[in-house]
Amino acid sequence: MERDLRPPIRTLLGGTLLSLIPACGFEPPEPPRTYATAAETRTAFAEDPEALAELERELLAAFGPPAAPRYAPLEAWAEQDFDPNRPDLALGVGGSGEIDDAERVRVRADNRANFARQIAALERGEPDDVDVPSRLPALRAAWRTLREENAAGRIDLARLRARGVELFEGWYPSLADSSATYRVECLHCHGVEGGGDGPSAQYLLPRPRDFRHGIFKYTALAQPSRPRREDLMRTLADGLNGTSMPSFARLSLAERHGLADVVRLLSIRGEVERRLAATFADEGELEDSAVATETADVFERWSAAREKVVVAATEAPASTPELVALGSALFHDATKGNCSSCHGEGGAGDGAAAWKIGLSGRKEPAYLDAWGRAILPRDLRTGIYSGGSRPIDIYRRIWSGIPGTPMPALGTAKKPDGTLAVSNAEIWALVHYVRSLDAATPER
Amino acid sequence: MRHLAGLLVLALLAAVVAWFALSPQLGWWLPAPASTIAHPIDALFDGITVVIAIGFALVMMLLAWAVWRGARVQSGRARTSHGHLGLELLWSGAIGAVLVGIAYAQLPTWAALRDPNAMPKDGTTANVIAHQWAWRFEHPGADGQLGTVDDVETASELVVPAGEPVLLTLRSRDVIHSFFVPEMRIKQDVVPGRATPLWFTIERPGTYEVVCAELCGFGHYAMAGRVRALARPEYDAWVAETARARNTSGAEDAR
Repeated sequence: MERDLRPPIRTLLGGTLLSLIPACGFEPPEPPRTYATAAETRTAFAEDPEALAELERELLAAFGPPAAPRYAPLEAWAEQDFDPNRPDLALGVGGSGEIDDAERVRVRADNRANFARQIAALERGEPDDVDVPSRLPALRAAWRTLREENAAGRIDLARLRARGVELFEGWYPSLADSSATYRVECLHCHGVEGGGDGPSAQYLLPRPRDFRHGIFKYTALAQPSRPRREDLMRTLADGLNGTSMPSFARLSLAERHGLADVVRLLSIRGEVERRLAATFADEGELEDSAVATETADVFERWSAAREKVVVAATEAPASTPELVALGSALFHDATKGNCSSCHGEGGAGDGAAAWKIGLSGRKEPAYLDAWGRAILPRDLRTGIYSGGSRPIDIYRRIWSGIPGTPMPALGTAKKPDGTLAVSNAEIWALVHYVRSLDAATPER
Repeated sequence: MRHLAGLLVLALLAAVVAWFALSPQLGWWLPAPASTIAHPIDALFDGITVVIAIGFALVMMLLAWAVWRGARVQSGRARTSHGHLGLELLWSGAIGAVLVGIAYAQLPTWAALRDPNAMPKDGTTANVIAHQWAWRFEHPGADGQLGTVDDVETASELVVPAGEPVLLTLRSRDVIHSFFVPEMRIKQDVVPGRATPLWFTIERPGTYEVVCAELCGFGHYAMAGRVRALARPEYDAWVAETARARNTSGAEDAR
């Protein structure tokens, strides 16, 4: 029997068209109004929703909402005339003092190149030709104010020109500007609160960094430490090779500094929240000044990072077969490097210590990282070094370990008699042995 | 009134030809060529554009004529015919000759760019590694050899000498990407599991944008990089500086 297929097809087409109508009406979602508390925090406060609400109010007061994040000024900062909310690139002016003079010159040169059209129009004396991109609302507003002052006759054209050039050349994004950039560039992996739980995070291996622990794997520092601005800037510029973290070199230098500012704020906010949740879980209450105290303490750790840079006692020696042979011996020596226990005899990341037999009877990774996920040692034959491929980068990985992972700090490891287990020269030998594993692999 | 349709077709033809003729002056054309291979490629591009323009103009004029004439013939039915050996040979032969001519004309350029035997043998080498979603580059370092411990890796920026052949090897870690430098007129797919050779000679120092020209995932838009071509002395200085940075003890990080 033949059926007339026209009515069902008509229904299908009509239904599809009708269903498009509501779809057209959806607005893009607004930025979230507050930073949410982490699941662990809500668990810690499960029995006291009032205390949780109080904590959320205090965190909001201390760090602001995503649309306008900021630090509530601490008393100590007022004394030192320090304010991380007030970055300033004006030469000769202190600002927050967090960007050194050499970097300030680089940022200004980068701004000059990025705003070349606007600055050229100003220098031609044609302020009408200056157009500020709509994605920089704060800069736009500042330029409009200048124009209005000029129109009202308060400043003449020469003054408008000078102040306009300084406006573009000395541009540095506010925390609110950078938070908007963060929402565009970073949020889909790192999440609104920097918890490494953005919508794309579940598809990535390794997972995006959860900033709230304050642990950053690849820095130039002795551990434990929070990262320096330079460490975050390097990750933003170079990405993390072998992970999904791409290079953000396509953003301007000022924008990258702004993102580093947001990462620090989110990390400090998250760490303060985690600490308060832990305190509450232990003591069942929080002091009134708890948020300020913890913020000051965590911020202090970020400031102290500057003192912790690992510097090798000597420059990297040239690679020689003898040095590589020495490195190989140390790599396999259980009383020295002991690297092969995890990284395997050939450096393939298949060492016995990295694996266990699970309850299912299958081979499973033996270790979890600080974020509670299974972690495996790097296959050193791939030549992919997430923290950088310069010899000093690998030196620092070996010397200070990788925080949040089982990779130990060999530079401070002691023998039973209290002396250092490996010397500076021996770490360089290990570096060259590790590099030779990559070079010896012809094709990958 | 009906003749207007024929005039309209001719006006459209005139507008399209004028548009193309004016585009280079208005800046609606390709960016200025930056590599040696870009010149023959541009010549081919222009030549093929002219051939297509002639074909387009002929077809449009034929169409205008048909519309015009159809409007004049007031009565009777259209005459149809089928199979005319002479006509079919004529247009097959004419179009075939044009295509063979184009194919022949582009052979030397193709060979210069792609034939392994015709590629320059000596030049600065570098590895290009594409992955989701970034370009990474491995430079040979001070010893001029890739695969040694002094290789210099960079993210997003390839540094090469200008005025000399540069020999790249392209690899992908995950999916298909495409190494596209518009100003050099070079676009090469990067296929996982393969090492694809590519060469170019940049004519003058400058910075040229690299983009990924193969949709490779949600970060495809962000796969931008640049080629920085330096004059030989500056390039040597850059190599020396990176060599020094590689031997560093890290002291400059501690200020």
